[in-house]
Amino acid sequence: MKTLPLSLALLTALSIAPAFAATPIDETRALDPRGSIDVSNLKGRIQVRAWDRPEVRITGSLGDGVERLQIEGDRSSLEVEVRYPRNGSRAEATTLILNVPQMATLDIEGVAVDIDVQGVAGSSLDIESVSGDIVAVGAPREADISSVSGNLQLNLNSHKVDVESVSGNIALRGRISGEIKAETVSGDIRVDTRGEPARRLDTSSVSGSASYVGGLAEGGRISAESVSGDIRLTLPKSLSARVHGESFSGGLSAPGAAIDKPRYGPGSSFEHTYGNGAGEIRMETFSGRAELVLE
Amino acid sequence: MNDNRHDQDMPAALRMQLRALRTPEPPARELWPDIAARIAAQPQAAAAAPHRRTRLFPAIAAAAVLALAIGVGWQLRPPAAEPAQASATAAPAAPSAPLVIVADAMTREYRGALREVPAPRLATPGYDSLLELDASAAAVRDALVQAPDSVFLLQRLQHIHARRLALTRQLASA
Repeated sequence: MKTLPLSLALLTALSIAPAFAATPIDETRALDPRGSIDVSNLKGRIQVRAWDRPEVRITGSLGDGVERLQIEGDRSSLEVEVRYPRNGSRAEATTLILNVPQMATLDIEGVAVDIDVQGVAGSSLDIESVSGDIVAVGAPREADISSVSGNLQLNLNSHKVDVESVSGNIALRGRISGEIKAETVSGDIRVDTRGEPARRLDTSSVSGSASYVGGLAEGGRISAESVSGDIRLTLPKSLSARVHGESFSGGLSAPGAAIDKPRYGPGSSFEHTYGNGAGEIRMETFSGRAELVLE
Repeated sequence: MNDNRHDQDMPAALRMQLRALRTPEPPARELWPDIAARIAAQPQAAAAAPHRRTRLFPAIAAAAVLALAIGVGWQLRPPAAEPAQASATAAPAAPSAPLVIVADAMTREYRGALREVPAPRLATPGYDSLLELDASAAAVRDALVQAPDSVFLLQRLQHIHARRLALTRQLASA
């Protein structure tokens, strides 16, 4: 019986052996405060934190079976890439932890990688992943973020944001005064500009629902489309816009608007003007419910 | 990051033509009083000629729209020798609406492009999303059959196909 605990301990030690096989990373390179950095990793995690030094520090661990960590470039532009062998499917996950200048331009690509970026405020932030979740908090002027099945949790104060997923949910918050484009297939879209009036908002989905809470800039435009997902736009009572809603078999509602339905056959629509009608809002769904709420 | 996105979009000319189909063009002024006055002024027997002309214009317009859609569909058709693959999104029983014809031609075109890409392995991260995109394309195509003048459904279908092709390429190279 005494051999059982010993065996269990041995098994446990063997099972965590790959973790010890990972190679620690500790690299530092100079980078201009507004330089650019590209990061790619197929499997594992990428974590980025902004700091106020003109350099990039890379720590973390290379997974067992990974070929090497490749760092190329100069002070203005750096590329950090985890290189896998030709048949690298058995390689262990790699964790990259980067500290980058706050105003750096950042481009991150991953496949099965969770990505967490906080504090950057450069001219652009591009993130692309397939199955990993993405968390981003910062103030890049422009952000272009996409995943396939991972969820997007974004808190951005930006001028222009473009987000896309297939089945992952998108939650976007932040003071965004310019253009927002959000697109999914089955994932839900939640956009909240914290009262900031967006100049342009486009949402589209197939079965995912979409909601927007925020304002509309003078003369701004909102377009929300879905096939079967619900649409809900929540705008201030001071809204000034011409609003058009259209549905084939779903429902439509907007304060004060008369919904037109043909006497025979499917379909419903409405046109209604709020305030001076300076902006334009269009909601279109095939079988979902499209709703405008003023509060 | 998404530089290829616009390249894979529907050709601009086609997009503009399809958009034009749904744009109503109301007359600059109320025409009915003049028409009614002319009808009243015509002898009963002669009234038939202008009546036929007024019905001719919508018929010509409808024929033009149909010809445009069929033309677009013809341009997008697959080579005759290529076997048509049964699928959830193509091969309708009787696709009569112009946009459905375009949708099915477009679907066949994208399927042809997909055959040029190595199939990703089942274990590849994101593979399930390919199946989800296929199911979504089928759902949108079904919706288009029910609402055959919905340009936004056709655009959505095109975008799903483009995403499917781009993702397949991405996963195949991963």
